[in-house]
Amino acid sequence: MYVYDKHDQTFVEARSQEFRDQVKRRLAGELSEDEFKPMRLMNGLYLQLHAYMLRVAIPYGTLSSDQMRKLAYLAEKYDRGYGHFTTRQNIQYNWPKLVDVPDMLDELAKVQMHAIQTSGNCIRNVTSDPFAGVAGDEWIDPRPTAELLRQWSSLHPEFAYLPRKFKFAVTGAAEDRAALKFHDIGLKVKPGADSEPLFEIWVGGGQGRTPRIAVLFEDKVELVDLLPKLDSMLRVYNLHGRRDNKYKARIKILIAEYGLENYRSDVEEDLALQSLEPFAPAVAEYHRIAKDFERTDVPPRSVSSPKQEPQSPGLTAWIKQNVTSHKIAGYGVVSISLKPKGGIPGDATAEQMYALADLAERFSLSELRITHRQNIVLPYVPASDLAELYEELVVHGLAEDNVGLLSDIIACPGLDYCALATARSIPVAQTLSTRLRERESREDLSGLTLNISGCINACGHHHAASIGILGLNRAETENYQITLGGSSNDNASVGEILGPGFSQEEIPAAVDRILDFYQASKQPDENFNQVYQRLGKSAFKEAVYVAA
Amino acid sequence: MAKKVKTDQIFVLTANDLSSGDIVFWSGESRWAQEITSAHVIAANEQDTFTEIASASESANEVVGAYLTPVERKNSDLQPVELRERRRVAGPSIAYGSPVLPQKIAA
Repeated sequence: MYVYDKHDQTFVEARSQEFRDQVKRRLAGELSEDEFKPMRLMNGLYLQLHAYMLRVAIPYGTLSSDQMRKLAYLAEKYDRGYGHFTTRQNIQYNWPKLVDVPDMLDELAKVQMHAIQTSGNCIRNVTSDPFAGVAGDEWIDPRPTAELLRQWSSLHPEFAYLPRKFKFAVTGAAEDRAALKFHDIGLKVKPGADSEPLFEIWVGGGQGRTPRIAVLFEDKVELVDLLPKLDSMLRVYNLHGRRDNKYKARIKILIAEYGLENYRSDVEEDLALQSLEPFAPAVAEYHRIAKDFERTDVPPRSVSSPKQEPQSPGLTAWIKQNVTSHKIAGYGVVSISLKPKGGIPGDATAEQMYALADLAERFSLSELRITHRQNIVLPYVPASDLAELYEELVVHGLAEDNVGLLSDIIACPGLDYCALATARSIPVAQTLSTRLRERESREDLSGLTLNISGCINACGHHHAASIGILGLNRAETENYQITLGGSSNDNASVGEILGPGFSQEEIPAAVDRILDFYQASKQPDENFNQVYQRLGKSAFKEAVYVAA
Repeated sequence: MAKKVKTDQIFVLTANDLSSGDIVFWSGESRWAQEITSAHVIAANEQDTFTEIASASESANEVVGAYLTPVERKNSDLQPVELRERRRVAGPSIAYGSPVLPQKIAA
């Protein structure tokens, strides 16, 4: 894992001290809320529906066991004993008090963490593949690039007040596990000559009220050219992005309205005027960072344990569903579901977080990952330890064997917490996960996804799911719109609105009818989106509405 | 354009406590209370007066984000008219912070 150098540590501690002073001045009345709000937002502190909310950055979703233990401690000491892992691979605390936040940031700084740029119109926490460094299908580890971007973008003075927030994702594997094409800029890293990274740059993706799939800006960008190019891309967006209407301020709108070729031409023009001198250290810095991610402490393991104990059905099912092959023989990549039957997607109690920290130390070289699907990954588990790990997970309520199944639902906090939400998402997810777990015991519901957002901002990624659910407010009553056919993988697609919305009570039956029709219609080896594309919206619409 | 308000519409003044972030309601006794049951009921023609009270309380760093929200009486209780405000008053509808009970290991 990347370890802060003296500069990083000094920077984060100074920022924490600065915010302590700002809070003190706010509480003393020396700063008005209008003056204080931009400062708190730049430190990840929102005022939500019921209370303040602190969003802590987990850069590219990578955590050490000490960091996870600290997150548990914050939940226990300063919140209500739990935290919520988000689709940006971050964690949110829903109940902190303003007076306590400086202490929380000091505690985070002790383990090389912070909440900087988890809010505001700036470059947000860079997300990445949760299987980075261990995936069997990986070309090149995306984390050194993600860390380079973190360093470049942290408090970048020119990009602190962009027209709107800006999200990066970086992947380096055949399978897209980071929803790359739904980001403002997505970088796909592949090995070039002498194994140096080469970058595909995708631009203009996003969700929200105007969902867009990113388009290819350029392929085969060399490392030496990456940061100057990104700097110019951000500069042109900063200049031309709309500031008159926040709903049209993201780069996806600029690309759509101004045109990719015009945008590209402006970027090239800007690049020609740039001094490359400030970027000169970037290549050496990339390689310095990359060394931190090279694990030289992975002990060799035998491919199969000498004594095969008989497996319980629960363990067999869990291994089948939650363990992925590792690039190192004798190891597995373990995904831990935060989607228990009837549970709250992405929530973990302090006790569970402490347990996860301990388990990472015992079984995974003290390393964990957070996924954009709101689950946890232990990336280095010896195959011979899987049974023991499973038993521990069962004790802590973390052994649900549903990763990648339909009940592995993404859901935003919705109207239970969020000031922007128009309807609740969590209760819908709870009801559906209970029903779907029962259905999954009888039939194969892999290869399709179900995501729920509590408003059009789409933090629950409903546009990008096979079955998306969007909660709306219709005449002060919750109403849920269904979209079908979305996907966040390499063949990314935006789901289509099926028809009129449903009440919360009607949603489970509507989902059942969609699944019934899919199961009855699918041909061997066809997944949901293929069936949807073959039969079209009208067939599904008839099955859902006429059959009701 | 401002939304036209019925003359018999009633309101409460609500905000968040600056220091704790807790939801509070103006109780009409120069203080903020945590329960809507203690909220002072404001008539439509009194809105300007209480908007000034809200501004003064914000300037005094007692609360943040104060606003008037329409309410109605239901069985003598005050209930916000808007969905968002009803949820805000009721709190999260879910049992948060409690882990789903450990499963039994299948034999």
